[in-house]
Amino acid sequence: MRTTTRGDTLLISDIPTLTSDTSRPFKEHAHGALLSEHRFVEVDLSQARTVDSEGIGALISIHKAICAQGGRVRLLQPAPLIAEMFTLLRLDHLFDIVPR
Amino acid sequence: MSAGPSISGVSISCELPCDLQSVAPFCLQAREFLGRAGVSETEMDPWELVLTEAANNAIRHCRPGEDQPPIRVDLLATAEWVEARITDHTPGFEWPEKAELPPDDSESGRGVFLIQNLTDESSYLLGRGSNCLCLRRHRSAPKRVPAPPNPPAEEELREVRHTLDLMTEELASTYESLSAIFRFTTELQESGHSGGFVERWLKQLLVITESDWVVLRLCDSSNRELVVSAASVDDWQGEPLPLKAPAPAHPSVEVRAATQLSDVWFDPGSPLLPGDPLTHVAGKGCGFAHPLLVSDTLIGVLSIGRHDGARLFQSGHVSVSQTLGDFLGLQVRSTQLQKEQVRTRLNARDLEIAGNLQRSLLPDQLPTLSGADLAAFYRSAREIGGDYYDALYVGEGSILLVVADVMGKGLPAALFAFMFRSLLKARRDLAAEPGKLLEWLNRNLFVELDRTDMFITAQLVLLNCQRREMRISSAGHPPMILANSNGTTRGTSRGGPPLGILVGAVFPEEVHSLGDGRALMFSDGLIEARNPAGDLMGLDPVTAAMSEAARLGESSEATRQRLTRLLQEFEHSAEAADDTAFIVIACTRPN
Repeated sequence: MRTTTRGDTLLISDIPTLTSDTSRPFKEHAHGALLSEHRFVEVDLSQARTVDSEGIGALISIHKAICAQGGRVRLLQPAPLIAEMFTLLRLDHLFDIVPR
Repeated sequence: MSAGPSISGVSISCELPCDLQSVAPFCLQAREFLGRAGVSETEMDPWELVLTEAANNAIRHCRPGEDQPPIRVDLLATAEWVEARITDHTPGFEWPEKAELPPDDSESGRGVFLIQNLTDESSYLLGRGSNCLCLRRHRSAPKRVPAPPNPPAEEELREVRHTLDLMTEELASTYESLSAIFRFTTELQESGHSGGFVERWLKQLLVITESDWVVLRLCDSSNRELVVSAASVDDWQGEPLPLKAPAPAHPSVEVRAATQLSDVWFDPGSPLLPGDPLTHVAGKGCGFAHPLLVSDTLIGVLSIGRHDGARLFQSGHVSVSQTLGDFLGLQVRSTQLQKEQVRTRLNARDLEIAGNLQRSLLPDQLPTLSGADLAAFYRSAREIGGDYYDALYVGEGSILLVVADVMGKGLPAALFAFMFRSLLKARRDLAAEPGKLLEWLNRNLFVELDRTDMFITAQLVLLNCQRREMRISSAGHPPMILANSNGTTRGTSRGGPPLGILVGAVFPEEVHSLGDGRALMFSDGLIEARNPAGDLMGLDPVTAAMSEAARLGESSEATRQRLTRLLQEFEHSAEAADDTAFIVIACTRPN
């Protein structure tokens, strides 16, 4: 996993999975990289094969943190099933989903 | 992981270590299997998510401890559907009919919702020690199930036969369990537990499970030991096994099963430890000890085995043993409870009868006569005893006073008191010589008292107001206290032995003039009263009270009240352990 800052955006990429065994380090890493000047967090899910409910919990945690700074989370290029899952869980209004 | 043909599709079974790291590799294996079963990539994705969620739950909520049993996953793919069964070892939970989503900002609580929405059918079966999540999802388009990986024809046939054998054994064991339970239940209804029910049951179990030996141990009444209740081995009697010993180090598989509340196995690869009592029965064979639980309470351990260590138990036979063992446990517990209930009822009835008898022995009121007035006290302890007092007219101006104490409690003591009173009344013609009367009573009660290891202490006083004398004879009874009006006191002699001790015993008499003092006949309950600290009251306070009563010239009733107060104040809140009876004689000058 890699984090990059571009202006007011924190980009998190190289995420192979976001599941029970990886979501905690993901969350810690993301919160550690989040700065007060950030207004957007972009999570590149293009390489993520699986995101489970715990992975979604980690994304919600980041959403809450950036919301507190008046910002939003963008999910970049998730696999179709992952994108559908956000709809199924009625969380698609929480995140800006940029499809593949 | 093992794969094989199933009823009409392909199946796979695997065991997943209780570790989150194992979920991803397992999901890859599951995808591989589904791929071989002809499931499309599009259909595999939801399954991967569903299996991930199910495995996460099973791992996250497993019981705390070091050795977690693995999670079993069975996958079955047919042309119409894919089914997954995940067997976990968590405490389990109530599966919602339709899971609700948590608030948007909640970071957890969506797993069950996902599982339910990505499958067509879901159910969660709660079990003892394990639970099973059953999931089914229809396939999007019926497809022909490809043949499983291409084993040579002979190997394939062998696998099919093996699968069939396992299924047959499972079915047979279920049938055997149900059939045996039905037989035993019928037998119980017809004849109860009499006539070696448990022994017959064990023999049947040996036949059904093709075992060589079986041992049933039950917890003793204090739950401190496992005691052999029945065994199929004739020349073996196992010593009781203490249950409080440290279980992990204990050599006995039975104790370990009882304390861990789980089956403990042994076979040549993992033999019985040196010192295990079952070694004499099992040798180097194989078997297991199964704890018998009723509502999570241990009631015993069933151990079963085979002498040939290579003939390991198949799951069907294990299942039969466990099912029938649990069934027997229920029956044994039920019988224990019934017996306890009957015993309690009998004891209560016994005490009720004894109490009624006891009350019927006592006189409604004491006779009055010129020259002496009488007052009596009687108090029954919590357990009915055999104290008795009476006052019988035996002629003009004469009364025979009696205080007796049958050693023992409950109905037997009350019955002997009743016999004593009946015999006494029958021979009141001997009352002029109380010693002779005691000899006669001793001869006539001796056989029954001796046979039951009981005895009676008694004191007879013939009070003759015309002669102004008391003729006293005692049989092992506490001496009377005689107090003069000047306050001096003395005791009478102890007399002969208690009734029922010596068949030809002689009971001497002593005669005292009535004077104008006070006299006290009493049972040992008076001087053996105890205070809350456990101290005995003893003779001195009673003697002092009598001295004071005589000096003050109290009436017999006032003296009775004085002694009653003394007793109550000494005992305070302590519960009386023994019956107490006494008679106060206040001698007065005749008009």
